[in-house]
Amino acid sequence: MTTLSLQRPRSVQSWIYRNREMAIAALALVSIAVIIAPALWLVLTSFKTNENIFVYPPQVIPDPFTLQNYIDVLHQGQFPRYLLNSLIVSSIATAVCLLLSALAAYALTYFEFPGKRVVLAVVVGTQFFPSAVLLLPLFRMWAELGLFNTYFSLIATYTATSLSLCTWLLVGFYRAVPREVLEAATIDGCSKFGLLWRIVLPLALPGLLAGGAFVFIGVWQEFLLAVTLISDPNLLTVMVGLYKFVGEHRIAWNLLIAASVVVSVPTIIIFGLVQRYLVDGVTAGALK
Amino acid sequence: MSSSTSLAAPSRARTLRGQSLRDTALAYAFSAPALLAVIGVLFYPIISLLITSLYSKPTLSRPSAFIGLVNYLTVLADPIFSSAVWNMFVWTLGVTIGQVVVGLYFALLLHQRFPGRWLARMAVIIPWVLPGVVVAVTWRFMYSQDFGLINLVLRELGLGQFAHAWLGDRQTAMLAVIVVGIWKGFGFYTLMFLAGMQTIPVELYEAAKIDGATGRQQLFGITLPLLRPVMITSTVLGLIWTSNYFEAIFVMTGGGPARSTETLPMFIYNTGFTFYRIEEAMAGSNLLMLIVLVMLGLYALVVRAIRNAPRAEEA
Repeated sequence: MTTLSLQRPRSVQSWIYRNREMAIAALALVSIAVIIAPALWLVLTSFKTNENIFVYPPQVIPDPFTLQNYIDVLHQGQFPRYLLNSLIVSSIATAVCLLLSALAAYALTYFEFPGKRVVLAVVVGTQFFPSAVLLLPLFRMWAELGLFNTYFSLIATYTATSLSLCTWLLVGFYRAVPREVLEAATIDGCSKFGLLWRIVLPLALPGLLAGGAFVFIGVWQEFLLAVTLISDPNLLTVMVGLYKFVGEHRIAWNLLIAASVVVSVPTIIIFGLVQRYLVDGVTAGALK
Repeated sequence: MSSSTSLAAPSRARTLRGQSLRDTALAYAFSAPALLAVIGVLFYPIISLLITSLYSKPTLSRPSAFIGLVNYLTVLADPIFSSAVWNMFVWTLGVTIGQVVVGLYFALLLHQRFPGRWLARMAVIIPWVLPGVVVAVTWRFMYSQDFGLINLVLRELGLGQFAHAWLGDRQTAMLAVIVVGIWKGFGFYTLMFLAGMQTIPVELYEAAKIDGATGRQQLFGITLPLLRPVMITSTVLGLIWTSNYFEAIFVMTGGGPARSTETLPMFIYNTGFTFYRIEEAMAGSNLLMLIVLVMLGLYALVVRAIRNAPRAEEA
């Protein structure tokens, strides 16, 4: 008996040693499952009927499997309107932000000029302004300008808050443009503006796409500024719309959960597409 | 930073002065739109609020007057403010420690070679890429008293006596939102640590193996020490973000019950937009700005210290 019980752990250990990769895969599977469980539970629940969400014992696999929650949320009430609002605000803010930061990054990468350090500090510094400190100042400013409850105030705000990240990301991509190409083009008589338009931007296209993706997602997900700067029910963004759902006296969980999945889909897709720029995006300027 | 990458290198320095003046004008023109947007939309309102906070609120009978720091003294004397600062401290510390530990665990795990690793690496950052409001909805559902997954699992395990409304109980609400904060954000550290580990030369591990170092010795002798710069910089950055992050708290509890989850940013929002005590909210907002600036200064110092430190590989 004693020899057996001594033997066993040793054989387990050697098995682990021999099948190290499989053991790690198993550990990873369990760990990831624990982490993913809440999100997975949400997705599964979105396909249940409203009654089955609350049954005991709980259903794991939806039975009957239904798309009714999605159909309802996309056809009823204000949700489609919120989606449209978010799409408008996110797209315009992304376009304006890309334009401004493409130009600013060009100046910051290829020019020496007095005050460059100040410009850098102003642009980089704002990356760390948390929205918590912006709520009150922005609310007051837009209200005083009579622009409270407009797309404009939201778009302008998001453009400004996204600029530093986007500019920094682009500076990184601009720097990677081979210097020889730029020098050759200059000798051929290419103007500074031509350099940007014909050489730098095409070569930094992945950077523009990644920057645009980050800005779009950032604006799409933003909640605090949106809930502070907009109160008109027709102008609410999706995230504020979701919050209004939560605030209702009796929460319609089936619709709320389906809506949550819907608004997460663009995020997941776009993050999947720009995955390899993720670390650059998060730390643009931060760790340099 | 980018001072070395200028095209206006030696050959250009000798060109006509008019050329460089024109380049300077061009550079200003290129950076002006972005600069104006940032100054107009971010700096101006912040500075304007700073000035307004030094004046009293105008009433029908009395115009606005300079009152110095009175608004600040009022908010500093408010016990709710102190408790909000304390809550922010607890929240920030709890979330950051949790995120670093869980983030490091997954980074070490996913740095190993195993079948399906690419999939695991994508799955692990799902909580981090999900919109904050969706995260809050998910966890409100998870925490709900009667049909939430957490209580269901507790009852299944025979621990039914622990099942309760996690977000509705003052005793557990802070813990509950901290768990959500950890879940939402640990992916950032996993990403950063994984990126950091990729820069550690493989030769170090090979040499260690030849010397007979165990896995644990490699972890404490090579991986963690060489990861330290990344760990420190990302943690300081994380502290700034976490202390100001209140989206999930906003949607899950709004700072309640009985203000038990009201961190300073939540306090500012509630004071200004729920109770309309604008003066106090302004002072609170500016004090938070001060805290952020101090932390940013700390961050700059840390980054500089690490950059100037002798490279770990050379040591």
